[in-house]
Amino acid sequence: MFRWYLLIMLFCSTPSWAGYVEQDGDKTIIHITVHDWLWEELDPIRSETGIRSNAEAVKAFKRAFPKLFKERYGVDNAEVKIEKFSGIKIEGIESDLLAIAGKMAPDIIYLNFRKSDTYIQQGFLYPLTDYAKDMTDEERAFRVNPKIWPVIQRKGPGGEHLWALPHGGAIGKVLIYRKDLFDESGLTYPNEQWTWDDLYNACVALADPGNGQYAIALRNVKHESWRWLDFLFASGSRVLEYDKASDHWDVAFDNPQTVTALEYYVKLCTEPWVDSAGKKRRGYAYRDASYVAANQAWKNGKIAMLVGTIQEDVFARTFDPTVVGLAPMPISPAGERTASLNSKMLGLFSEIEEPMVRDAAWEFIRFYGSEEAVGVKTRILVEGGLGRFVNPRYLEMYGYRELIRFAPPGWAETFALSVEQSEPEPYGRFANPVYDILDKPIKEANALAIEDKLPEDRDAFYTGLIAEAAAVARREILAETPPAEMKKRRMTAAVFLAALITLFVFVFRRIIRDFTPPGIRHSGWQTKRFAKAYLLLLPALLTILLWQYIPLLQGSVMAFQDYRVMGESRWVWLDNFGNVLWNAEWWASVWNAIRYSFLIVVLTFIPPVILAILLQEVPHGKILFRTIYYLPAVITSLVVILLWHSFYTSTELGALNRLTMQIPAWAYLSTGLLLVATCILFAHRLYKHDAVPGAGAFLIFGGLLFTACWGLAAPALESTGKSFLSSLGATAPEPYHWLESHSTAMIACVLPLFWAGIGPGCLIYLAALKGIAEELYEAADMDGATFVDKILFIVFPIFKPLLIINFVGIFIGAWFYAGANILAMTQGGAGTEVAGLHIFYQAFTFLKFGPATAMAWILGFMLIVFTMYQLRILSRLEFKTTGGDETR
Amino acid sequence: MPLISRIGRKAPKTIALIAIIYALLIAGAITMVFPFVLMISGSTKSTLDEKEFVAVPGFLKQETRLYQKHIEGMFNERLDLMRTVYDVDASGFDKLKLPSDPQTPLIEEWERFIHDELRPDYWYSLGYVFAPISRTFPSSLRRYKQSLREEFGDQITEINRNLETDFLNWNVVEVRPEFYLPRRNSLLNTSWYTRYRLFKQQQDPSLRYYFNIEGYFKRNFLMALYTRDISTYNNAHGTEHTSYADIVLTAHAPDGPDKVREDWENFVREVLNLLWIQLEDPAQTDYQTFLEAKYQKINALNKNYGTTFSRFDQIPLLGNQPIEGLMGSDWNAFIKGWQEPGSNILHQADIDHLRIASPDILFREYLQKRYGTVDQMNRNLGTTIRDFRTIQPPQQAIHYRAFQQNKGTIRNEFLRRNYITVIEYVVLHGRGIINTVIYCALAVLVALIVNPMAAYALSRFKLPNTYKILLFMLLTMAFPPMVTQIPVFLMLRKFELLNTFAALILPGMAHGYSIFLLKGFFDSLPAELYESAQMDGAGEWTMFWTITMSLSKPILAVIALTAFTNAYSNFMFALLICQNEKMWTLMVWLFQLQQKSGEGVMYASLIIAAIPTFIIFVFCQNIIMRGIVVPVEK
Repeated sequence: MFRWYLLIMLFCSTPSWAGYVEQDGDKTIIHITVHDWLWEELDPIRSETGIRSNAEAVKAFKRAFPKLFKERYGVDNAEVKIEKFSGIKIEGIESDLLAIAGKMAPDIIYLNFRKSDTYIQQGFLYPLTDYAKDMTDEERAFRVNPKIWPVIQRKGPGGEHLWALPHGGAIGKVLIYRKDLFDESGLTYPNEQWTWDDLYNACVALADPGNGQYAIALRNVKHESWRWLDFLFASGSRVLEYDKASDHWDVAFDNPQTVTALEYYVKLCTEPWVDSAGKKRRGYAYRDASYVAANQAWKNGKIAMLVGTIQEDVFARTFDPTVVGLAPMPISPAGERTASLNSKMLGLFSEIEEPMVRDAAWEFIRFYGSEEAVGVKTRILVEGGLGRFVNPRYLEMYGYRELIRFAPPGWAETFALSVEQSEPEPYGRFANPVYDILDKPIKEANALAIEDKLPEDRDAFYTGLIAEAAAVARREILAETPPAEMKKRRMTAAVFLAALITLFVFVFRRIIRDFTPPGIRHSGWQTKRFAKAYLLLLPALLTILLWQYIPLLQGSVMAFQDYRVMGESRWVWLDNFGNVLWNAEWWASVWNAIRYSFLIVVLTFIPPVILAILLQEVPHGKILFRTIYYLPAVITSLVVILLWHSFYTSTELGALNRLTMQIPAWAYLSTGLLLVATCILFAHRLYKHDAVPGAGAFLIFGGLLFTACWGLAAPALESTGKSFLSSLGATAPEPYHWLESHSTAMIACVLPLFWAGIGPGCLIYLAALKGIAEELYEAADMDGATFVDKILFIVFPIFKPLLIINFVGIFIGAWFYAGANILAMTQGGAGTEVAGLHIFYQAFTFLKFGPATAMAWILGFMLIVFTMYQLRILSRLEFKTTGGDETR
Repeated sequence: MPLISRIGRKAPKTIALIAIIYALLIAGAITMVFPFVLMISGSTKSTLDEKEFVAVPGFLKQETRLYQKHIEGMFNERLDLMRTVYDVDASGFDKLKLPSDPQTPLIEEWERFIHDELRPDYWYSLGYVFAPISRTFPSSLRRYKQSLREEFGDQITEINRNLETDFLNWNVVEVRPEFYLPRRNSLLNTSWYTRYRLFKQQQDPSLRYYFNIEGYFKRNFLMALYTRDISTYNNAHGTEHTSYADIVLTAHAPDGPDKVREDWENFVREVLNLLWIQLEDPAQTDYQTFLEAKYQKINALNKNYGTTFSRFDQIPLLGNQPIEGLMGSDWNAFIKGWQEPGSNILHQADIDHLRIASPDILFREYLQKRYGTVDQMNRNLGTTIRDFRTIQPPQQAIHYRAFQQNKGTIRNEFLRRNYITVIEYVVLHGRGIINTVIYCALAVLVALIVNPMAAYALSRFKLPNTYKILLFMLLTMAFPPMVTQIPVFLMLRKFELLNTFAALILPGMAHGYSIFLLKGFFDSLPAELYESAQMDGAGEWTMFWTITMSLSKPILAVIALTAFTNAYSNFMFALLICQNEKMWTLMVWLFQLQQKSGEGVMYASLIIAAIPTFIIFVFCQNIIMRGIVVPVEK
């Protein structure tokens, strides 16, 4: 009895992420939860001076709170507690939007420019206008830089409102450099006269990837264009322009300046050069996507420069000025150094249930960036010895004038420059997708550059890329689709849906027919007679109904809506389908998915079969081998991906490059020849038995395998420039850029699955092999069958149903479940954004659930035939275990 | 039963075929195992060998690597500190070479110098207490925690109460090694650090590194001002040094070129920590005048200082001991210079009264006192030193000697410490283990009941609509999962199930394909068994358990194993469904640990996490093999 009670307790434990009000005697304790990014900067247990200064400001707030809350809200004896909102973070995955949509949001939300629009439009933020009424002009002027006003005060649901308040002042961009590395290379430090050319020359002098030394960090991440933005702005270009009168945004980046910025950026990232050891190199930048790895490389002095931020209140608290210097951003050929401007902003979650919690949370936001709080922070910073990094303006204000002269020379000027010559990061409508669109030209150009495939006429090529991106931006996010075009799309959608429904009806009828045992007549459900059976079935049936069918219906409704998690959703009927069907990016992702599923089939469907046959043949050590091959399956799948991710490091220090760069061309070629020979052997036997199509298939497959091996050998063969024969011994001239190059990225995503899947995958075939009666082989021996014959004419026919089921399962899985591992591996870069991942991004990054569901249904439509086939086969099968002991 | 027939196995052709098969399998096995070996070797990483992807960690093979790792640990992963203490240029720990002549005769002198008088503990800092980059728990830190546990017990609250800290748990307990070089770092006198210093004194002296003021002067002061290029320095000073090694920091202000003297003065007045500065006796009057100018009345001073002087000229000079509060800031002001408001008179210690009294400089004076002349010392010690002022404390040699004596221990430390870190972390988040056990148990239980029950119902009773029910269950395979994901999430939210085990278990409780498979298998069980059981009057429930389930044990084992592995490794859910820490399972915690730790700890955690699944597979593989259901055509 007690155990059941415990279980029920577990099931009913209430969630606790929002703030609440607690009465303790005559005290009213208000608990507020804050976003974990904010928590990290004020966590009271941390000992860093910078964080302590913020924690001290929070303490000051708590002290002032009872009096303040009584004055402003008439609540006696109120106390406030600031608590951390707990949630897990996974690098590279933006889960915050969905978490907020699930109402799992802190009371105080931390937001940036880019996402601000999504937050506002989705109704996540509570308008602060009423609260802010009694803020004085001085109070506003103190904390809000004039350039930031349009970001926080703007149109949203319910008109123009104040949505968030910044703290810590403006954040500008600067060039951060390591003096020690500059000294070692005998370079002069960057200064305010530095131009793009100077930066480039410094990069050339500093980079030495062979020794793990990089000139500048430009990480190859999703939304890499956020970094490029600083160059784009400097080139004199802009991304979006806003016309307040008409509340209209327009694309502003299709101009020659952007082309210069692109060319420059690509040069830094992937320009080919030869290092002192004679090895060919690409670019001068540190390109690994992982933030953690980059951070460590920087700390270890492996990266010489960063484009970093400088914040108004404390310029830089983690840098040691004897090692690290700050300089203004370099000047572009257009004579500008404009970079992006940012600020940390806090807002209130729109669905705070207790008004008292909301009031208290607002007071926190107001206090945290106030003059009083900054005073407290400054005091702690000064006492903690960081006084010289504090903005001299604040030192002056709070009476630490004597410290001003200790400030590292030039930092205050650098900061002033960085704000003066800056543009707010795109924050308006569609700012979030803008980075996806701007990513395209960068990724495309860099991927081509790595393969030496950039066209001769770079300028025209880059101009084309930019024009394309601008067209996408206009079409996708800004302008309304013209009515005629929309009509066309709706028509297509209607035709498509009609086809979809017909196909489904047809397919389901076929399946029902296959499943219906012959000669059965409908005779009602007979609930009385079979009550017991139905009772036993109930849990399973209810679960499937509740968690599969009902969500399916609900989800399908979304496909016809402009769905919003909060607030009203609008019916758009066929528009989602129409837009998706005419969306080139969607079809590009479908093409990627086709490539992906092909590789998946080749690498995860076929190898387990081969392995099982081989394992069956060895007289000794079968169990040992089986255990070894199963080993990778004991690691969690996502972790497998992360592990391989670290093997793919793109210099020769990476584990995989270290290996592949030692393999000479002849090894690849002879492997290819062996594979071809094996295929020919099989084809030959098939041909002998008049199975011509099968023989042809084996030949084609062999050809493909050889092409793949040739592709691996090609870089080595071409590198020497000598005759074919004399270059057979050559090894790859430069390390592979596994995850960045179009030609390897996809296979790099699949390899880990091959590695982890072959062992568990072969078990079922092993079991099936054991089930094959010995007499069959003996009979075959009598007929003089060879080893290959037995595989082809005994094993395969028996395997056939199993092979088909597994094939369809793996194939469908490749389409439906591909998102997670590619996300962790390349984040969809270098042509790996498959359909599943595309849908994931649409849904969880942009909250476009409507189009996402429409896409999912289109996928379902494309795969229904396979499912049907699988179900048909299933209806004809029976299931057995093969049992038996291991020694056989 | 192998395909290759048993007869004719001795034929050369067959032998060759089997040999090829073995070769292929072995090659494949190496591919499978190699990443594991890399992982295991990776689990011993610290920061400097992070990029070293090799099967056998470098430090097990090369002495130099081990030495580099040792020094990295000694200096708590702070390169700049190593540079100042050794006064060397090295752009990374991985660039260090083994010292060529470790047996410096000076070692004994230095040890005597350290032991002769009672040297304060702030002269040195302890190695292996802090690993800011590789984020592991180094040996000294572990010993310190152990000593705290012995004294205060296991409760972190006891530590917090007694030592005035606010650690959330044992995992975040950390000691920042003292760094008494720049002026801003005052002696840490909190109860926490007092306790730590006690611990520090009890540690093996070879784990200490003493602050080297001259190194700090050159590397953090001169080089910041004049770059690393000695010619820039020479140009500014009119000197002709060939390298920074020629520059010495003297105890008193040098008489030499004005610029050299100015550097010395700026360094001592503004930058150097007060712990290393003394004033000569003649400065006493100036000091008294300064205090009188500031406080005017002795009572005012007494009130602020908590002293009982009756006249200003009674006030003694302060030594180079730690001074706190107002007295400290006045002392600082006197050394820096203080302008009297109104009269604008500058009160400042005279430059010739300033004196640096740091371990390195006092050591030189000690040697000079002991031997008188350099020649005498060279004769006695067999050294070839030209000038006392060029003597550096032989710290590198001492560290190297200790390294040679303790190689085994050091190697052991690197092999073990990342694992210890992970285990301590896991034990601390014991709630995670409980959650894992509950979740896995529930998942297995549900998988063993719901699906077999439904399959049994479909197999035992000839329901009129069996095929419809089966189809209803199987059709879900055709649905794109992306369509259902979001509504499922929203439903969980609506039912207030988020952050419960229910949210993890309920949606996946029944699985059409499994039911179909099980039904197929149950169909193949002999019907006579049921008939005879029915004759004996057995109920449906009894038959289900005693016949169906007990005959299907291997299959159920496979189902249970799958359910277990899925539950055990599932951590993506935490992203959405269970964001509350209280609900996190072991995997989620380990993932969280991996996100914020260095690669070494990450690999160690991966290996630890893989152990349960591995053990289960190794011991159950025979059962699993028997339980795999193979479809065959009817």
